Amino acid sequence: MQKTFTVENPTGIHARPARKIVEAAKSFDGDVLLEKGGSRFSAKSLVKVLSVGAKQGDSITVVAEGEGAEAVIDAVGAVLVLQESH
Amino acid sequence: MSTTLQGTPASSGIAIGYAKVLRTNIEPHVVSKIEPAMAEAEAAKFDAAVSTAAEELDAIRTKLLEDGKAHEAEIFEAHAFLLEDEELVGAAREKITAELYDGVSAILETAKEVAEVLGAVDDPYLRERSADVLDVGRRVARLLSGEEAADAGQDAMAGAGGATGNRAILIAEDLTPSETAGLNASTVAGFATAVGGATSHSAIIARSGGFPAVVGIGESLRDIRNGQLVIVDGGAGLVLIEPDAAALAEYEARRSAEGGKQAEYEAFLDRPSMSADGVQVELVANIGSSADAKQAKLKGAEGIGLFRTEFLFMGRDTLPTEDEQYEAYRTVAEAFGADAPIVIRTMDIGGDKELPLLELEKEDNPFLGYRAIRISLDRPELFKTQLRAILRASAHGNVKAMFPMIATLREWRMAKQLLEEAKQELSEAGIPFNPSMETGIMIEIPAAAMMADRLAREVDFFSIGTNDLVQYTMAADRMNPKLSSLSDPFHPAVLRLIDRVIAAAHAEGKWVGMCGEMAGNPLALPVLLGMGLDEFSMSAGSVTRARWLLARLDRERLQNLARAVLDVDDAADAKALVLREVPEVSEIV
Repeated sequence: MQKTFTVENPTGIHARPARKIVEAAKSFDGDVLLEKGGSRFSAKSLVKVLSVGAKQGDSITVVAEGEGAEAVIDAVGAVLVLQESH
Repeated sequence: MSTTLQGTPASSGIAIGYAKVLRTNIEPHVVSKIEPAMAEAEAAKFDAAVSTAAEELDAIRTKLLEDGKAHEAEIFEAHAFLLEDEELVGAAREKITAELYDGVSAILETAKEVAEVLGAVDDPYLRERSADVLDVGRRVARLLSGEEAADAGQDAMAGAGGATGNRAILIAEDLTPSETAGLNASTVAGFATAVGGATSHSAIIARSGGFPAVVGIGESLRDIRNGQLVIVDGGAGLVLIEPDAAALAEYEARRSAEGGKQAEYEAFLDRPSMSADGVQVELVANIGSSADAKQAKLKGAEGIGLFRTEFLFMGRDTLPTEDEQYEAYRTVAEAFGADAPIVIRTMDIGGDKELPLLELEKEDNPFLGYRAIRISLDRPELFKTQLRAILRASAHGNVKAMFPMIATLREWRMAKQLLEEAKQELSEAGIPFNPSMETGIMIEIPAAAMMADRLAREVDFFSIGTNDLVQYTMAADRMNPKLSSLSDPFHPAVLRLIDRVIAAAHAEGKWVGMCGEMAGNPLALPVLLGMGLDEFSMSAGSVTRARWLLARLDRERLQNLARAVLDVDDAADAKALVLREVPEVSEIV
């Protein structure tokens, strides 16, 4: 399943939010992917999450499959829509 | 066979020890492969290096937190997080097991690939992160190759009977400021690097930590091998490799004499900063974080002549709030008590200090670009937040505000206007501050030095920033070791500007200080005292030495010297004059 979120953080997805995304994704056994502009990135790697280069206003689709997928998608989505990075 | 290399003096003192070459830094990297049978052992070695790296990062982070350097600590927390990243560590491990790379090649290649991916994203913040990835990769590579290095060092030590103690001399292409800040005095005696200048951040940190260091030695540094006996003469900028017995004995004697000298300086910890003929000046410290203030006081500083506030803005995702800044400034003021002068410089971002947060564009000439007050005046909300925080701190001590990189009267007046607005806002909100807080400017651009007479009518004080003043006057990049002879404040052109600025301030009854590296230089002190400088701001570690020297100087007599150095052909002549007139100085330089 997948859900799309809009990045609200004015400085985009930088160190702290990226780390929170990785932490959330790692709690899930299967793959968690971030999709932006047709490219997919693993949400379990800080390097990959950073290289999405997500800026405020970007739409990011979070993809995961299987049991608990919705919970992890919502957890990652919650970071994407955070206004402040801490 | 003994060899002597000449570099740029970065931090004075004598260090004697065995070379520890940071091989991953200094040698151009080529991929080396291993035998298939070795892969498993190599991977295990790699895993061990990764976990040691994690322990190192954790130790650095803990120490920084203890020192109150939360933002610096966060850099290393992010590094630790990268160490857990599959894209970096997992991919590197796979290069060992699947492609038979050796561990060092595997981590360096992977880090390079990852850094390229991040560097390609159009975002200055991510470009910065790619440097972090490389840094983490190098840390692991160093641990992998360091095993050999430590062995070689121990063998050499056993051969020499361990006469020099077991602290190492680090030999590296360059050390980043964070690497320098992480140096441990119990294992490292000093360092020498191939690149860098005397005013690089690493050199400044080396001085405040008391590590003898020579930088800008160039390619010949590659001649040094792990475990060779090395002497670093930080004051003279010399590195001696495998010195003969006579040289070793001489340097050991000098090192113990310096230890004795140090005790003599310490005796001046609590004495007044007064010349032999009773002229009192201020000896204060330059600091880069609020946690440094306590240290500075312990080392004898009477106050703070330069609080570099940009460090509050670096290594973070959001701008520091007014409250956060106020807390930092108040902490410094309270560390010293009500009367001690605390000069807070508004942020100097740009130049060599990038701030990813502001998303500044890359410039061809950052030192001549959009930096410091030029950004502040362009972004009044950012600037006023800082001004309000400084004003609020002025209710807690003798706080003064200082603007960096002022080139014109108009810039000063605009900054002053914004300060008045900030005062107005605080008054309306009923928040206390000192309405007559002194406000001054840095003189670091030759244009400001030439206009000092007019600027002096309006400001409360000047502080001469010699690092930039020299760089701009001599048109010589201070980071370029090839130009280090131009980066010398003793060039009469620079001395004339300094003399002019001091005279201009005094003609208007204003005080003038200096917060560049020159202020802590024993050779410069007699000249500056003779010119009438009122305040000397230096690394905290130099304060007692300056006070010791000051007590031996007679200002009346030095006025002639101060005039004489303006009327020479070059820097060497000016220095020779000082050494002739003030022989006491030769004991400590």
